[in-house]
Order: sequence, then structure tokens, then C-alpha cells
Amino acid sequence: MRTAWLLALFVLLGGCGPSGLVREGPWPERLSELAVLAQEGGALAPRAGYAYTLAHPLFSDYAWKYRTISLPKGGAASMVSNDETLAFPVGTIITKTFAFPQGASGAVRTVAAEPLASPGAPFALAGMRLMETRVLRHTSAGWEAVSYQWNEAGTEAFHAPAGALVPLTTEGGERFPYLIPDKNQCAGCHETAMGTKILKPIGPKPGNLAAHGFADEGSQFEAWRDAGWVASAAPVTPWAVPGTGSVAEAHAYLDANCAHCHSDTGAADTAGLDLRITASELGRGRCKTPVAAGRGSGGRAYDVWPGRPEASILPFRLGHQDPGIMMPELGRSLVHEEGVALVKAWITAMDGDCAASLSL
Amino acid sequence: MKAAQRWLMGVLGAALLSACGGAPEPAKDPAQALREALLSAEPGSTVTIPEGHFTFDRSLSLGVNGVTLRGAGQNKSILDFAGQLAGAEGLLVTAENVTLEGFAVLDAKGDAIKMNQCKNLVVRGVRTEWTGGPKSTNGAYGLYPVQCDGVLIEDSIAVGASDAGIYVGQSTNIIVRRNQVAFNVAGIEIENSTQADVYENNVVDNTGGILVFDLPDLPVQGGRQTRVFHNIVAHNNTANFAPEGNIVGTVPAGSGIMVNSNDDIEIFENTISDHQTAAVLVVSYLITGRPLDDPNYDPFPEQISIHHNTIEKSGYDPDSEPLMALKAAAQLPALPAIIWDGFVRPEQEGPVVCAHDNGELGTVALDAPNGFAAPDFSGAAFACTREALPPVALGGAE
Repeated sequence: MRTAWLLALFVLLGGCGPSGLVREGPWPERLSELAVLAQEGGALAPRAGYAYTLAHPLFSDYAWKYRTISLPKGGAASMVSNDETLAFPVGTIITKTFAFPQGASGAVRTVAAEPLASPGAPFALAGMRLMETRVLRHTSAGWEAVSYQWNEAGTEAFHAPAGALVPLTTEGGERFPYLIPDKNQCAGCHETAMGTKILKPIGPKPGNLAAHGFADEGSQFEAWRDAGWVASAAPVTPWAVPGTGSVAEAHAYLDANCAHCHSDTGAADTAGLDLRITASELGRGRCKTPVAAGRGSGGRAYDVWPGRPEASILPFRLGHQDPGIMMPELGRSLVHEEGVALVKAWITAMDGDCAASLSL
Repeated sequence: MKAAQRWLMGVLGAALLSACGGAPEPAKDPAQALREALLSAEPGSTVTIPEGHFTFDRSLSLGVNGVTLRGAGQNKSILDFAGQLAGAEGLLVTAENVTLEGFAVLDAKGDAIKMNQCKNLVVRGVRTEWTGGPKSTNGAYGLYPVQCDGVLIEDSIAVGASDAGIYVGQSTNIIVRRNQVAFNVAGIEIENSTQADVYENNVVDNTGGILVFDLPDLPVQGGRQTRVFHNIVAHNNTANFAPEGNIVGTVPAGSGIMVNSNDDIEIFENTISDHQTAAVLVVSYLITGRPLDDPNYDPFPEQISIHHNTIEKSGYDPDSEPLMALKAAAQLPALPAIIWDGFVRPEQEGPVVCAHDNGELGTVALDAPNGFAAPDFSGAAFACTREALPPVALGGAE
């Protein structure tokens, strides 16, 4: 009986592709048992699939991120739209490993990540502290999400459905808690239509994949299409060129960092603020008064007051570190100075004005 | 159930050990054990919180339908978030048919208990409190269901919220009863919601006692049909300590019951005593002077009925410049107990607010749209009656 079961399991796993990825069933205790990443020669590399990057990533306390994706054999994603997550086939596994470059005496360096050279490029671990690997897998029952927390030696990561707070210190001496999300907190962002209990990947949207590829590649999205991973001939428009400080880049930043909640269906639809790339400036909070912001208003009258970033709630919350005030609510403890500057520049350049407000 | 039992056994085991003078370390950190019990709860199961004081450095969350989270009592099972480092609320509930019972959430950095998109929610005998008194640095909401269908909040305590102690937003089919609500900016607030019964609550020492609001720029609008009755609403004169910018920051201290832009409201048989601004205040969103770009929004309160309330001591020191000016100009020791700002839609026919059998303290229609030029103390604007609203039925939970 036991042999037959093992045999069935073997066939099942074999059927999922040559790598032996655990695409269904209970989460294994160790990340290595998922067989999705390999650690060899002082680097992390995909055992199956490829690494990818996003032009406009979510900020996570300056952690560097190594993203991989593995589609089932012969499977391809279909395109929903330029600005929505690709629809990946059952069997897809996406990973995102978070690590910090370490400075003297174990302090973490808060610097922008170095770009990867190519989709096959490994992630060099020398001088890095591995924190966690978040895994999204598309099972026959839908997407599942959980994180694996790396041990201090960086030799193995362990199933961490309850998450953790890991105390870290920056090179500048700022102590902060790094959050490894629990299972519900994974859903907090990935259940993009609140109440459905349906999780989805957030990052891989064509407009965010297309903007830039790897150092020695062309458009990443076109590479995916050429490889047969995306079954669609529809044209794709990059959201923005990163690093230019343009209005389009600010919109892309808000989508990547906020729109999983701030949409017409997300957990923050209660607030009536829409930060998707497709939103209008009115939807993005232009002259919108706060409703349930509480302390988050910071004494400011409007979410976005054109020309007046110092009087606008949005950059105030992005620049705050109090859990009762800051945005995003989860997933950062530090302030993303570059991101706040980008959002402030967008508001500064905005034309128009809001009315001065009165009260009874 | 299994996880909860494991947790309970761990805690009991630890208690037993320390009672016997054995190893002082619990088998498992109880806070972490509760987190895991909530994460691994089976649908329909009960997760138990034993008696004790448990501290947390990040939010708890419950996303499983049909779970009952039950403590030993609102003064016995204490979840303490004073040391919270991450998460915008103490406890976040994102599931249907959940019952929360018999525990306390203290000093959360943001909201104490947020329940987002719930159905058939029951909160019974729960306490949310900021223990340092009323401060603008306290979290916004104590008990905070939003976009829910079917809400019962009873026998609970909400103290110290810098916005509202009990805040039901964008929801429908709501009963809020027999709660003790004190030292919040808004005691109880029903906002952008339909069909709510608020009764037998004891609402004291807030800035505003009971608020029924309908606000613009929200996905759920058209707040209507709320009954506020049999409440004790007393000396809600605490200075407004809401962080600036919030709509409740515009609530004058000493407002007993306040209606803003909501329709079909019946306020009856309450005892409303000692409010420096007004026992009952009915206003339009337009009074805030805030800009209005939302074409779907109706800023006019309509079909308001205020009757058979026992009202004592009101309007003696209004926390509002125009009201203070009015009091001085009219040379009155106190303003009337029931105040309506006078905004009506241009095509309005007949009165907006009916008030009768509320004692001797009178009414005033402010004429705010004309710069308070001709306030009417005659009561003529309020001379009407309305049919009683039907009670809210929750389908068994009540």
C-alpha cells in the first residue's frame, strides 16, 4: 500500500516536470524540499524556471529581491490587459527571496539592488543576509502563498506560516523590525478582490515587466513572449522608464506599492482612493478629504493637494514609520526616501488647487 | 479546534508547571500560540483565549469563516498591543460569520479591531481601550466593522479612540446595543450605512455621543434608516482630540446626538443630558465648507424625526464660533437643545426635521446657508410628525 502510494506520488511529481517541484499538496517544512531554488557556488539560482525583474518594484525596507518564475511544462500565461497581472496556468510557482547586503558588524545596508545580468543569472550571496523566500504557487485549488524564513547561516529556509518580526539595524544605526508576513498577511495583499479569498500574484503585470529587462537583454516581456510563456500577440506598453522621476513613474510607483489594496475591489476600497496605474488623478486622491484616516491624516486636509506635497496626506503617510499612520500598512518599517521624493515631485508638478477648508 | 486545544493545553501546562514551582518558561509563547491558532483554525471552530495578559508586537488576524474567538471575559483575557511594531490594527478580521466574545484589545497603534467585508458578525462583551486617556495619538477606531452585512455589537466597552469608539461604516443591517462608550471623539458612529438600530447604550464623556453620518467620496453611500433610541447620552463634553483633517475633527464638543447628511433617522426616547453645544444637532455636509466633487452624493439630511426624548441642560457653552455668536446675539443663557443648520435642497417641499415632545428646551433652525442671518427659534420649521421606522432584523443573531 505504502509503496503504491509512493509510486503514485512519484508519477504525480514526474508529471509536473523534470524538476520535481512540489506544485500541490502540503507545504514542505524546508524550502529545499520545494525544489524550486538551488543554492550552489555561493549563489541562489532557479532549479526550475527563470529569474525576472520588475521595473517598478514594491519597496520592502531596501531588501534586495530575487524573483523566479516556473511555469508547468507546456503551460503559458494569458494576458488580461497591459496593466493587470498575467493569468498564469495551474502549476506555476513564483518565488521572491529577500536579502540584505551586510555592512560592518552585521548591520544591513540600505542601498538599491544591483540589476541582474540575465534571466538565468544567479543571485550572488557573498556579503548578503538572506531573510525569507515568499512562495506563490498556483494549485488546482487556486493560488497559495506562504513565506519561508532563512536560518541565520543562510543554509536553509523553513516554512513560516505565522511569520516573524526580525530585529535589524541599518549601517546608520537605525534599528527596525523586518516583517516576515504570516499567511493572512500574504492574503492581505494578494487577495486583490477583498472577500473573494482568491489570491493572485501582484507584480507580473505586462506594463511593469515590459519597461526594462536585464542588462544584456531586450524587453523582458518580449523575451517571455518569445519563449512561449505568454500566449498573446497583444501590444504591450511599458508603464514608465525607471529613474526619470516622471509623472508616469510616480503613477507606476503608486500602482506597485499601493494598488493591491487601493483599487475598486481591494481591502482599501473602503477609503475610495484608487492608486492603480489606470486611475484618474481624481481617483488618486486629488482634493479628496480623508474619511477613516484617523491619525493618518497628520492634520492635512487632502490626500493630494496639487502643488503642495507638504499639505498632502499621501506623502505624509509614505514618509511615516508609526504603524498607526504609515502606508503601506504592512511590509515596511523604514521610509523609502526615493519613493517619497518621487511622489512629492508628482504632486509639486500638478496643476490646480483645492479649496481652503472651513468647519462649523 | 485542534490548534486552539493545543494552545490551551500548552498554556495550561505552563501554568501548571509554574504553579508547581517547576520550569517557569511556558511550553510556547502564548501570544505566538494564539496567532497560530487563528491562522490554522478550521471553519466553524472555536478558538479560546484563556484568562491572562498577553502582549503582541504585531497584528493578529482571522481569515477563516465561522470561527468564534472567545476569551474568559473583557477584563480577564487581555490582548495588549502597547508594544506593537507592525500592523495597522490590533486584530483584523476578514471572514464571514465570525463571533468575537469576551476579551479586550488594549492600546493598538492603529484601529483596535477592524472587521472588513464581514457578514453576520457578532461582537459580544469585547473591550477596546486606549489606557492613557483621550489623546490624539490613540488609534482611530475601537470596534470597526466596514462594508459588512449583518452586524451585532452588544455588551461591549469602547474607550479612548481618537475617532470613534464603535464605528460601523458602509454596512447594512446593524444592531449596536447595551454598550458602554466613553472618552472617544465620537462615541458611536454609524456612517454611510443603512438599517441600523442603536439602543440601550450608555454613551458618556465623548466629544460627540452618537453620530449618524453620510459622507462623500466613498464607494458605499446613501446612508439611511437608522433608529437611535433608549440610550443614555450624557455630558459628552470632552474637548475634540481628533487629529486634524478628519471629519470627526469638525464635531463640536458637547454634541449629544448628531446627524450629518443622513436620511430617514428616528431619534426617540433617549435621555440626553448636559451637552455644552446641543442635545441633538442636524447638519448638512455643506456646513463643513469642504469642497464637494462627488456627483453621486446627497449632502442633505432628510426625513429626520426627533421625539419623546428627555433632554436636560444643553447649549450653555457651544463649541462653535457661529453658535457662540448666535447665543451672544440672541442674549440667551443657553441655545435651544435641538439645532438644525437649515440647509435644504432647492426643490425641497415641507420640513426636513420633525421634532416634538422633547421637553421645554426648544429648537432653532440656523439659516446657515445665508450666513446665519435669520435664525428661527419659533419651532415652525420642526412642526411635523413622521411614521415610526421599522426595527432591524438580523435573522436570528439578535
